[in-house]
Amino acid sequence: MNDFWSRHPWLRRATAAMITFLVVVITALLYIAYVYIPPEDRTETPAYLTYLQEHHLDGYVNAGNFRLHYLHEGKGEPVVLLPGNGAWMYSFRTIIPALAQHYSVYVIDTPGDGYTTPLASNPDYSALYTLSSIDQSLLAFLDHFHLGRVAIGGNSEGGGIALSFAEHYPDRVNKYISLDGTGLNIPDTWFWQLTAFPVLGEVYTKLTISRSAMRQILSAVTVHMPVTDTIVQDYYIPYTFHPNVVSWWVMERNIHWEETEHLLPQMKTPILVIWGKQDTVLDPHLYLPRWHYVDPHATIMEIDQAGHAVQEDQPGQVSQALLHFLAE
Amino acid sequence: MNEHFQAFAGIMVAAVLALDGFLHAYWATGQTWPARNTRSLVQAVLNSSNTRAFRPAILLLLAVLLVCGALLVLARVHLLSIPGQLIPDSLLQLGIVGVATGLLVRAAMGIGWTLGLAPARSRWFYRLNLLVYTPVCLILFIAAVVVLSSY
Repeated sequence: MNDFWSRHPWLRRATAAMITFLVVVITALLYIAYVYIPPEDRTETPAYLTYLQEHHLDGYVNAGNFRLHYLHEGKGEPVVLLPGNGAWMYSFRTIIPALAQHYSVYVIDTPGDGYTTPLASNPDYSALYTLSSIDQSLLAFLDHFHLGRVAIGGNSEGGGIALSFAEHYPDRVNKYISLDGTGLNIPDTWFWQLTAFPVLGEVYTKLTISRSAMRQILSAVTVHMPVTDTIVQDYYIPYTFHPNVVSWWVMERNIHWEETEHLLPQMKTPILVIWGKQDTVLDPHLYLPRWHYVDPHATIMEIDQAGHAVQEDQPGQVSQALLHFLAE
Repeated sequence: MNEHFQAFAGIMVAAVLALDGFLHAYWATGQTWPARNTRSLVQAVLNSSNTRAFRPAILLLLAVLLVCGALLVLARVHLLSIPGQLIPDSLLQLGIVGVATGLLVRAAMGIGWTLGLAPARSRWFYRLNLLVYTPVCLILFIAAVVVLSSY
C-alpha cells in the first residue's frame, strides 16, 4: 500500500484532502443540525395578530400538553378549523368573516404552529408532537369551552389532525372538512420526506427559515393570491419560533397517516373534501380518487385556480362550499 | 427514534469514554499496563515514539475531558438526574457535537493510517488501529449522532 501511495503522491494528497473535507462538512452539518438555532423574530407582531388583539378576538387556553392560541368569532353551531403546518390562524382570515355570520367559529393554531406553545419549559418534542397528544389537547379545548359536538376541519396537516380527532372522538364531531388536507396514506413530496431523515431534516429546516424561503413557500402553495410583503411578513414571524421550527421534522418523523386512512371507512361523520386543482404539494390526481375510494359518500369538490392553500386562493368559493355543507 | 435506543447509544458512548478516561488517569500515575513500558504504550496508542506526549499533566487533562464528555452524553439522554438538568441544552448539544467530532476525526485519521496515507510506526499500532480504534470510533460517532438527535 505504501508503495502505491509513494508512486502516486497526488492521489495520496487528494485522498487525504477528501477525508479532511468530509470530516469538516459532517462536523458543520452536525453543528447546524443540533447546536445552531435560527433567530426568532420576536421584535415585531403580525398585523393580523394586532387586529385580533384589538378586537378581543383571540385568546389562550392551557389544554393537554399545549397552551393553545385560538380565535373565536361569531355565534351559532361551533366550527373548529386548524391551519396547516407552517401556517397559523392567519391563513383562514379570508373565510372567517363569512362563516362567523352564521356559526361560532374557533380557529386554533395547531400545535407546532403559530402562537400555540408547549406547556413544559423544556419539552420532549418527540413525545409532544404526536397525533394522540394533539388529539387530547383538542379534546381538552372543547371541554374547556363546553363544546359538545363540533364541525371540525383544517387545511393541509391541520386537515389530517382534524381527521384523526374526528376518528378518535366521533361523539364530539358532527362534520369533517378537509381543505387539501393530509390524512391519507400517500407519500409526501420529496422535500417533506427529506425532513424525516436525521441531520438532513434539521439542517434543511433550519436553513430555510428566512423571509425569502417563506415567500417561495407561499408562492408554491398558492396560484391566485398575490404574495405581498405584508402577507409574507405575517406568515413569517411565528414561522421562526423555535418550537414551530422543531415541529417540522419531529412531526414528519412522528406522524404517519396509515392509521387515519385505515380508520376512515368506519367513520360515520359526513365529510366535505375541497381541493385546489393546482395543488402541487398534495396532488389532487392522487388524493381525490383515494378519497372517493375510502369514502364514496364524501362530498368532493375541486376548485380551479387554487393551490394547496385553497382558502387563500379562492376564499369566496371555499366559504360558499363550507356554508352549504354546514347547513345540510 | 426509539427513546430506549437513544438511551442505549448514550450509555454505550459514555461507558467507552469513561473507561478511556479512567485508563488515561491510571497511566497518569506512571503505570503502563497493558504495555511493558511507556515507549511501547505510546507507540501502541499514539503511533509515536515521543514519550513526552504521555506526560501526567496531558494524560490527566485528557482523562478529565473524556469523563466530562461521558457525563454530557449521559445528561443528554436524561440519565444524570438533577445535575444533568442544570446544564443548558445548547451547552449539552455543543459538547456532544464536540465528542462526535473528536470521534469522527480519530476515525478519519484511523482510515488514513489503515489506507497507508500516513505511516504506522509499529505493527501493533497498525493492528489495533485497524481492528479496534477505528471501528470503535466509527460506531461511537454514529451513536453520538443518535444521542444528538434525541430531541
